[in-house]
Amino acid sequence: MKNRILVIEDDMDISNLICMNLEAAGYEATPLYNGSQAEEFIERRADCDLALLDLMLPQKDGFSLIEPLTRRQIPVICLTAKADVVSKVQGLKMGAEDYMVKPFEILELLVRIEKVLSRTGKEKSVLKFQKLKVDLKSHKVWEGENEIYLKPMEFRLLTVFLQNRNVMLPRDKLLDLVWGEEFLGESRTVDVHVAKLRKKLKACEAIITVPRGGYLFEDDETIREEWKTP
Amino acid sequence: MENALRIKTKIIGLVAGVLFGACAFCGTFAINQYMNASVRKLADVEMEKLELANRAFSQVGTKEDLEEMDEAARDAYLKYQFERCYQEGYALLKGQECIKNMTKYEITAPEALGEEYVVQQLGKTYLLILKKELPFLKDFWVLSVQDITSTWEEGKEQAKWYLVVFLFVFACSITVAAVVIGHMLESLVELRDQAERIKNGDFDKKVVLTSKDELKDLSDSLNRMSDQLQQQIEDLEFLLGSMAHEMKTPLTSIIGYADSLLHVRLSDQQKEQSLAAICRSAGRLDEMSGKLLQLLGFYENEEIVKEPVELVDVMMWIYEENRETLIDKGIDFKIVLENSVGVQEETGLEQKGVKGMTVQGDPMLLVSLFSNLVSNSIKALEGTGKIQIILIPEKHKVCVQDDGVGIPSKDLPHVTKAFYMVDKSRSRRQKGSGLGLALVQRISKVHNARIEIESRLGEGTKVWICFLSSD
Repeated sequence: MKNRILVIEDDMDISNLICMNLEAAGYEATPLYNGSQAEEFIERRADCDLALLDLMLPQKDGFSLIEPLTRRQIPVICLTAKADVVSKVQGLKMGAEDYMVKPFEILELLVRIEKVLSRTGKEKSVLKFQKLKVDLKSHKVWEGENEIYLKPMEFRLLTVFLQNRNVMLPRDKLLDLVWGEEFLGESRTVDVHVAKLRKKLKACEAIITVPRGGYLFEDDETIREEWKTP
Repeated sequence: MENALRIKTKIIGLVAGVLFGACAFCGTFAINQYMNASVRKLADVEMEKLELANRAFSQVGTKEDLEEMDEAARDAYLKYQFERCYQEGYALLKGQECIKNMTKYEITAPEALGEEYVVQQLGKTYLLILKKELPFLKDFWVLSVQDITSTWEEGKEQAKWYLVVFLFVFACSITVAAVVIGHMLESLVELRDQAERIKNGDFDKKVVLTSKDELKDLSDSLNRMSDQLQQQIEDLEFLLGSMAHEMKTPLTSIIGYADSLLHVRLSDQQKEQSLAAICRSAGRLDEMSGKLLQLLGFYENEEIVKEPVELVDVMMWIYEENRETLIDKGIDFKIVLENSVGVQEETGLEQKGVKGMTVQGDPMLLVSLFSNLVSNSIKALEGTGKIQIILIPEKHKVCVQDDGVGIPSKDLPHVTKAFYMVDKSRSRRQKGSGLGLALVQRISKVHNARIEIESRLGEGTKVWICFLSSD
């Protein structure tokens, strides 16, 4: 099962951009193009894990959607071109979990989504890829029937890869995400751990090295060939 | 402060100089007149006295008696009689020679004395000297010498008083003048301070002058200038702010898609879509910048070359430009020429060069104006509908009319503002930049035309362009 994310954004290009990346990274994205459409949708369906909400929406103001979303336990990340502090504070006060100002980096958006999901307990506890199964609660990893023992850092690195499929992760970003920003290690540390993962898990052959870039976890299943034209 | 003081000093100096000159001239003239008058009065009195004495003297003998005497006896007799008749201060002259002197002074050169009186200064004393010929004896003269020092001193005293009064009056008037001039020039200082404030970008404070003179006019113009500058700066700031905001969306798109292409594994089709989206957004930015440049271009250069432009041709050109879109969407496009009696005459789209309505203007700008309006109408229709362009040459009016979505009345006053969009998402979808009507207004202003927008939500919009003068 994938996390379902609502993308409430009126600009077709930006909406497609976000959906495309979310799906590639392993989420299920539902685009909604205006306020009333979004309101109607959340009335009907509550099985959403998070909403990315543009504050400047036609028909219904983005701010007015925060309350109905949070009432249904759907955490909100505000997404807007308004860089001013006032609307930032207003959004957060009204119950938004986080705030992103356009233009933004894809990786940053994905990281924030993960953080909000894990903070609100919406994160899926089991990650799957081919025969690989990772249980985030019990910190256990199975490949097929065999349980594989991973060291804590290897486990966290694998989680990051599985949560950001098909997205290139630079070594320094991986250091930040896995070891924390205070960690003063070298980027070699990442290489060593990736090598260990590849050795221990057959599925980790999907981790490819991007020259002069970093690592990327390939998952063809989440790449959609079909794409609707805006 | 310094400048105003300099002009104040100049004006007060000038006033003081003129005042001083006038007073000094009048004073000198008055004192002179006074002295002359008092001396003449004295002289008249003395002359009368002399004449009386002379008449008394004439009793001493007849002309014949005296002529019979020999000269020495006559002189002696006259001397004797003179002493008896005259008091001190008189002298008897025979020709140019003094034969009996009863004055305290020595008499020299009496011939220098004319018929009139003379005032002579002798040390500290002033003497009034008169001469009169004896009526009965030829070439015998009586000379009167009177001490008029007291009268003279009195005159001088008068002059001194006059000087004091003059100085006092002068000081008073110059003080009053200085105060009044200073007060008048205070407004000048205020005006200068206001100009300084405008220079420093402070437009909130205004000069308030109570006087009703040219300085008041100047301050009013300065206040108006300040207001207009403030308005222009605010407009420009608003434009820049809106522009920065409007740029965010296409930029987000470009950055996001480029970022995805660089860092995310995408299918070939997704890659193509991403590139197309980047192209689209960049195109939007380009269009926005083009319109902005056009809009800002007018701020720099108000001068455009005007020539007679046939509006029917302009409309034809716009029709040709939009022909495909109009046919695709099934829009009924009409150009109507309305004459003075209100009879409408439809201009066939095929006919070219029909004499319809001519205005003075820049053809490219007019095309831009009406094509923006037509493009707005096409967007408002959202599909099929009617667009009518009505030309009324007699009233110098053109109307672009559609039966599209219309504009809510609350938005009407704002639609000509740059980046104002009634329905943001519809505008974005239709690649609107929010600059169209701002540009229309700008071009209209340059052409001395007024825009009137009538609109009803759901019924359509009429945009009137009224050319204010026929030149």
